[in-house]
Amino acid sequence: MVSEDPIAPPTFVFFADLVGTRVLDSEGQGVGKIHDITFSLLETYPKSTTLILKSGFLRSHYAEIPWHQIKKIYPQIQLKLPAQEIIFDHPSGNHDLRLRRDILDKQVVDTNNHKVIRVNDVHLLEVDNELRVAHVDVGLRGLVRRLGWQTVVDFFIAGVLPRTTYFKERFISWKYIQPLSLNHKSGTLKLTVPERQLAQIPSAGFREVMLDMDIYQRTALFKSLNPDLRAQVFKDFDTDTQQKLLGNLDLSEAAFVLSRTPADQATDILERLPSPVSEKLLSLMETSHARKLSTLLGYTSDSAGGIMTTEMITLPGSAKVRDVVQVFKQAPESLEATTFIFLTENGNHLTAMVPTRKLLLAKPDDPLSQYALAKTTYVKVKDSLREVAFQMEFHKLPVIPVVNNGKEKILQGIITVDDILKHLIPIAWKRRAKKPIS
Amino acid sequence: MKLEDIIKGRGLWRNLVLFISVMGPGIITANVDNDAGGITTYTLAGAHFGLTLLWTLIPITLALILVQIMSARMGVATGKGLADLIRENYGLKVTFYVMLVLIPINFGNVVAEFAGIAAGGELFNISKYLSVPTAALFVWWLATQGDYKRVEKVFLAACLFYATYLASGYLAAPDWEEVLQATVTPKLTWNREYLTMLVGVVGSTIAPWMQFFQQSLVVDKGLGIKEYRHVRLDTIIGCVTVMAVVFFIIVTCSATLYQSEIRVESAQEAALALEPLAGHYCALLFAIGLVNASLFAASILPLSTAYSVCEGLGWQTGLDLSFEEAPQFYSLYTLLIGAGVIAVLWPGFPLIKMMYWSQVLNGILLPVILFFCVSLSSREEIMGKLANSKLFRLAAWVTVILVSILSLTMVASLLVGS
Repeated sequence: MVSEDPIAPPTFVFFADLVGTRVLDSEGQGVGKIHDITFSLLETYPKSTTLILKSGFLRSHYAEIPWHQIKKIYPQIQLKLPAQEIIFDHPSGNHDLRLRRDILDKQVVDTNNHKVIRVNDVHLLEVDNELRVAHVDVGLRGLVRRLGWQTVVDFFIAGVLPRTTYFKERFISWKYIQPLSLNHKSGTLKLTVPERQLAQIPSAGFREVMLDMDIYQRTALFKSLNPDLRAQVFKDFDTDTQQKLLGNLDLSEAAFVLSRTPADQATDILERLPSPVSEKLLSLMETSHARKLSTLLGYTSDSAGGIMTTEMITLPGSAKVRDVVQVFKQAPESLEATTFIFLTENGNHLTAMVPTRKLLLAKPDDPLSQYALAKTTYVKVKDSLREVAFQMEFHKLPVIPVVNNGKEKILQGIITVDDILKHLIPIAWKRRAKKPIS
Repeated sequence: MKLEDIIKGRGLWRNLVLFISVMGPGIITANVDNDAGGITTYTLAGAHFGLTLLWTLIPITLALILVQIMSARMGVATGKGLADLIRENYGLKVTFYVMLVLIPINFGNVVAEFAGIAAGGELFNISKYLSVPTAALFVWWLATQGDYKRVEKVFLAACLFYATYLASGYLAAPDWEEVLQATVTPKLTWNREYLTMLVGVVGSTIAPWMQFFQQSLVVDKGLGIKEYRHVRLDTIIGCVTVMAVVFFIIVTCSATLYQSEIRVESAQEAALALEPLAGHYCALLFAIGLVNASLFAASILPLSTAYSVCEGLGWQTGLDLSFEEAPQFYSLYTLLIGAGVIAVLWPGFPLIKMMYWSQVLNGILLPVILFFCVSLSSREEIMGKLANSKLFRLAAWVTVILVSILSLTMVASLLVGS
């Protein structure tokens, strides 16, 4: 497209300043006011696609003008069409981003700073008779500008607080912005930043961002993520939030998320669901994982079996140090208990436990059993939490293996000091509260 | 098919459990409504006009339920606060000026609560220089607990204290037959004082901060469409119980003060005057009710204001953030409490003048907020399936117009009367 004024340099314009300005037709007659502008999300910095024109005072009519029908933007938007060719009130099948409907005054995610923020204005770049979304303005000065008080406030602040940060504009580049406007039909939102960028947000940051959103935005964002990313962020939430997030997925999606969730968390959720539902979920998971979970579900929550996790590193008794390295390379990131390696023989009989720390200076060919603890301490699945805590404290162990109730010592899972603390702290507090004041 | 649709269960027991977990926002908001200012108004209504205003309580209850249900429904359907919705749909300018008016109104209310605490304390011979700062510290401490679930229980427990008014009503021994008659017989008296009082009762029952507050409680609790039926029940229970309390306040004051033709000008004068007429316990219960109501509302109003304003203007909110992360939020919150204490304790503060303007602004803002509520909750693109039905919309507009007329009448009479 050839620009009318070839020497005009690219300029920035604020979207809020454009809204409501008069639009001229090809003859230079006013035909209405700018209501909204749509942008195509195909590029990193979205390009204007249509202009939504509003006319009429009490009963408004809207017309959607394709951008190629725009003759010039500066100093006033003028169309190539004469007034009589503009069709008002025709339905629009356009699914592009609409700045006023979706962005201005709305909440968006700043994926760079991991925050949910409200947009005060949108900074547009004007190049070759087209507009591109460049930044969103989230600063105080943007707020004042939109209220129409900029001159007064600027003058006043410059006089009183010349060194304030007020004059530093707070613009955030569009490439970091994820809108939160929902598609009401599907209950999802359109991801504008690449998923790889979302995946880079540290999990604590993701959690914070999601908790800042309203419940519908939160579930929509969760639904919009790919299954892997979904499973990755899921494990950082508390059980209540997890249950709500899961409630909006269908059965197979929920089963997938649960199959990637640490076993102790997954059982917490499954325990809260009516049993036909949890059975159905289990049937949809991989058999090995499902078997693990249904075993865990069988134990009462105040026994060793009820709080243990089945995620641990086990190796055969004949394993060498180099095998450990291999295991660590393949272990999923979610694996938490890595301080000990458990050795088992024929049919998962617990024989020894090896502190990983000792292996730092070991040679690759050394047998693992050489570094095992002299005595293997364990608890049984039916043991009380008090017993578990006592054994861990007595032997100064951060992790303790759990074996079945029979005599064969078949390894069932492990309990970490975190797991036991989580259950003992409430009991300890209650007891302290009951103690008479002396 | 969504997992939650599969889980959805029925049965009385399950419903009851669900209701108890949802309960709170409606009941708490309605009860905060009976704050120091409200109790004073109802006391005077009973003391000066006897039972003649009693019949208005039924239509006022219906209007209150209608308005609060709209707010609760908006919270459930959008997951957003009212300030958020106004900002997103009416833009920054409107939001800013609404907030600019809301701050002095709510500040006026906060001052009224602290004044109520001072007055209530003096009934028990506690100096206001002790009771007001202690109350302010308590309010601040409660908010910084951060754990809403626990704080909500404290508030629900505070609601139970309103039963003291029911007990006072019983102890005052009115003629129940006459009371019943007056409740169901609409009878309007066309004189200036009566109408001013009527407008005052409506104005202290339906107030703009309530819409912001209830909606934000619903949102904070993470309640969604699934829970709507229970949210609605919570709202109705709240509104009905709170109007029952109003009923008993009016009955108590009518049976005692009005009958004996004792002229009182405030709730604490009423509590003092009750003692010789209705006995020590009746007066004591009345006074406890006043302190409880003031403290309860003082815990809520500053926080609710800070949340609404910061949400609307896009500033960070939340008591789990540090001061550096949410400076505007904490500044406003602290300012409201601090200035409220000063306003009550510093003799030179133009207390009467400030309350007067706060009431005027309140009367002007109410129609605006109600207009926003009805038009937002009627829009399907915002509310989805929970948008107002045609019938509800009609009822809502009629109510809003009537309440607005009364509200603006009050403004006019305040401006002319001064």
